[in-house]
Amino acid sequence: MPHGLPEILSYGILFVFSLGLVFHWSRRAFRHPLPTEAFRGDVENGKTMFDKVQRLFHWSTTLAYILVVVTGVALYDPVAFEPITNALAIPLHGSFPSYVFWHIVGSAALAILIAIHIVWDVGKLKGFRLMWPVKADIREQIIRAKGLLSGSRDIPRTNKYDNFMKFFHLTLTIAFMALAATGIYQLLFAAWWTVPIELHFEVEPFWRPTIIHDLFGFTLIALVIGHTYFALLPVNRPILGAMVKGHLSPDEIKKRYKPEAFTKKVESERQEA
Amino acid sequence: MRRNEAITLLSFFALISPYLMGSPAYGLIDLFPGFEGDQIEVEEGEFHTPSSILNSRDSYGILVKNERDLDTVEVQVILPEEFQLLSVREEPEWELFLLPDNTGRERIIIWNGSTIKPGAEETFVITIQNPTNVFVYHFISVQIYANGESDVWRPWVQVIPSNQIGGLEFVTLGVGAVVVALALPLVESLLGAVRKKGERRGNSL
Repeated sequence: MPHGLPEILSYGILFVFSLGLVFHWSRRAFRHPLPTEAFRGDVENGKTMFDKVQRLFHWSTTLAYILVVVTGVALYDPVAFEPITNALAIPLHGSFPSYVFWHIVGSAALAILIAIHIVWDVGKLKGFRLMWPVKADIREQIIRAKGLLSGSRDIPRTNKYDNFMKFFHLTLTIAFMALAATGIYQLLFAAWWTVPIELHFEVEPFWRPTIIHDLFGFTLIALVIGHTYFALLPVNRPILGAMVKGHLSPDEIKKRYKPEAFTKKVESERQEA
Repeated sequence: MRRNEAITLLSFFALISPYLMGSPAYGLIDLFPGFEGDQIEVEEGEFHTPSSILNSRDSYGILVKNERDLDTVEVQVILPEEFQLLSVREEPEWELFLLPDNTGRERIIIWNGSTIKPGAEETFVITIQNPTNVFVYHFISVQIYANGESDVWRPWVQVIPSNQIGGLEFVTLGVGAVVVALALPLVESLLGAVRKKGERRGNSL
């Protein structure tokens, strides 16, 4: 749309990010790096990687997110979306308020799910420290980045959430807050979808919330594409399985994690017992 | 009345005409950027968003429909000051007049000397240099009838950044890269499964 983020930036974000993933795959797919440091300790049984609430939150968020992205892209670039709506025989042009409605429904669902997630993971499980980046994470990130570029197979053992997961989570949080703020502003004060296209510029304030919304929107899409890529990697299949079934096997834990990675989980499991 | 005063008055009436007429005055003069051909043909129900790339040269088809029961005898189009007129296609049945604004730039295009019958339509073509700013621009246009009455229209065009590079649209590049990135792990899984199957077969032999 004319008053949104230029397409060279929006699709450029996706293009550059995907190129990064292709590069990552090319450096790792045939080397299959794993920690070479020995696992000190013993793991008799598997661990609960994600409990029921966490798994339900994850997959419910996925559905809400898909609704938000599909309606959002249709609003951003209706011309590119036309083939999809034509194939599905659903209206597009002239129906923007409907797309905005479902976009808001998806966003509200995301907000509620995130509130539940905060109450559960921060309030109940006291898991804030598991996800908050620390200095050691930056050091680890540098080691792994160097390993990626050099092609080294030697990588350090990780905690339950490694440095990349923590920064992914942090960036998701920032993106979501920016999207919520600019989305709410547009809904209340700059509802461009309610006026003819030639008046869109006139309802937009000087600080261009639509452009900010598009920028963080496409950043969020790129991040989730990266998340999906890593989830589909064969080496991460057990973690994907844990997001469905909850558990991680002793072998998998010994392969990549530090012995103390699941300490918090062990503590919380003891408390529940 | 001087030319600039005429433009100002015309612009004022163009701006308020939707409210005077009680409905938006869109549609009976419409713009078709990127036009190549002789006559514009619009399909019933076709959605039309006039767009052109900023800072580029483009041919605009101007579709004039006569929906009154009087002949249209003159068509006037005023280019927004951000545009630069480069050429006007010759129309054998029409006389062309180009009037400059107070800066000397030719911005007022007038076709007369022929008629558009009731229910008929006519296509005029101009080549213009687009502005350098992303915006929606209105071309104030006037349709004058045989009895001296006129209708004022405000067809618009959205001037946008290019959506292509090297002939490929950005959306194609972006989505294509995403598909490739997400397909690679699946390809790796497939290769792994094929390799394991081969090993099992080798072991069984």
